[in-house]
Amino acid sequence: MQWRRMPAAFKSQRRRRSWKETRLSSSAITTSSPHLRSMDFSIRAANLDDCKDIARMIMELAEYEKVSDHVKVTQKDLEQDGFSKNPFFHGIIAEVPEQHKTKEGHTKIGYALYFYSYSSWSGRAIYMEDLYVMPEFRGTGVGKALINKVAQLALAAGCHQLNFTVLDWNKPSMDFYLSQGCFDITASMGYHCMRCEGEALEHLAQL
Amino acid sequence: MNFKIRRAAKEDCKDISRMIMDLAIYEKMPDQVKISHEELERDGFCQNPLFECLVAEVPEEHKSNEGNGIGTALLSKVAEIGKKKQCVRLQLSVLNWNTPSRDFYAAKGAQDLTVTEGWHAIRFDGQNLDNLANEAPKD
Repeated sequence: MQWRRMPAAFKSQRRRRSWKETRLSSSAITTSSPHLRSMDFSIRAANLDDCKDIARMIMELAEYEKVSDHVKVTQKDLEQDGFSKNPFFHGIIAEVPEQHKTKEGHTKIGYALYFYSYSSWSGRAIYMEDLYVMPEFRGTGVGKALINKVAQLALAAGCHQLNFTVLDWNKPSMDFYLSQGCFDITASMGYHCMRCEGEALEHLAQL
Repeated sequence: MNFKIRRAAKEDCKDISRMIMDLAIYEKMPDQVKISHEELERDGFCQNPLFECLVAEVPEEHKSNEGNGIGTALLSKVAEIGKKKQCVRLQLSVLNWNTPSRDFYAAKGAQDLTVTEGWHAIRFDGQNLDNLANEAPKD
């Protein structure tokens, strides 16, 4: 099971340290869009109303990863699973002001999805399920701000690890994560990611 | 041989901790184990536990014997619990040299996503995690 509930102690810790919208200015190091060289964006906790945009960006990320037919989760699933009394995940949204909205009119231009997990070796951990920035906003510091925020929340909750996966052909993402100081534990330690789903999972549950 | 699978209780944490270390030794990384039964008791048996656990137990007369079907029973129970909570996936990781375990999971219908799709497991911990967190925008 991927989900974990956060204990009450963590919840009160998070309330004390609740973080407001944070405005950031960023000058891009490399970008193909000159108008984004100096750009405001904000990072904040996701709320129920963000689920439509999160669902949209989940699909965009799946298309980038060439697995869009795998996406079964809907906006309604996100609303139920992310914003109930004991949520299965938490979200962070990156947003730009109106004057920088996309040609389709979107101001929510990036997100991270994470949940709390547990390592039998190190204790409390965070698993980052998704990190995504819309193409036209890449290279402007949004992705970095999102992962920095996840890491900050991880430490605030007493976690000792931030874990996630990346596809081996996804060089821009792999390069980004390596530049931030991560370890590829598949390459360095030989861990393989395994999954049981569909009929195999049904069968296993009946044995 | 008789065995039973049941939900772990707080009192099991000393044995769970012992077996975590046994597993870490098997995986050739015993120095990576940083938590003891105390953390397991605190984190697994509070009001909103951070993990759930199943234990396999044999009767007194069979103590310390190896078993048949116990691994399958544990894995199946996890799958059953997941299904009851409408989970659609069971995910885990296994070391590439650990052939008996890889064969076991493959026989149970698990796909190796690292081989078939190229997924790599990535981690930030220790100083790297601290550095990443320290760069977060100040609230």
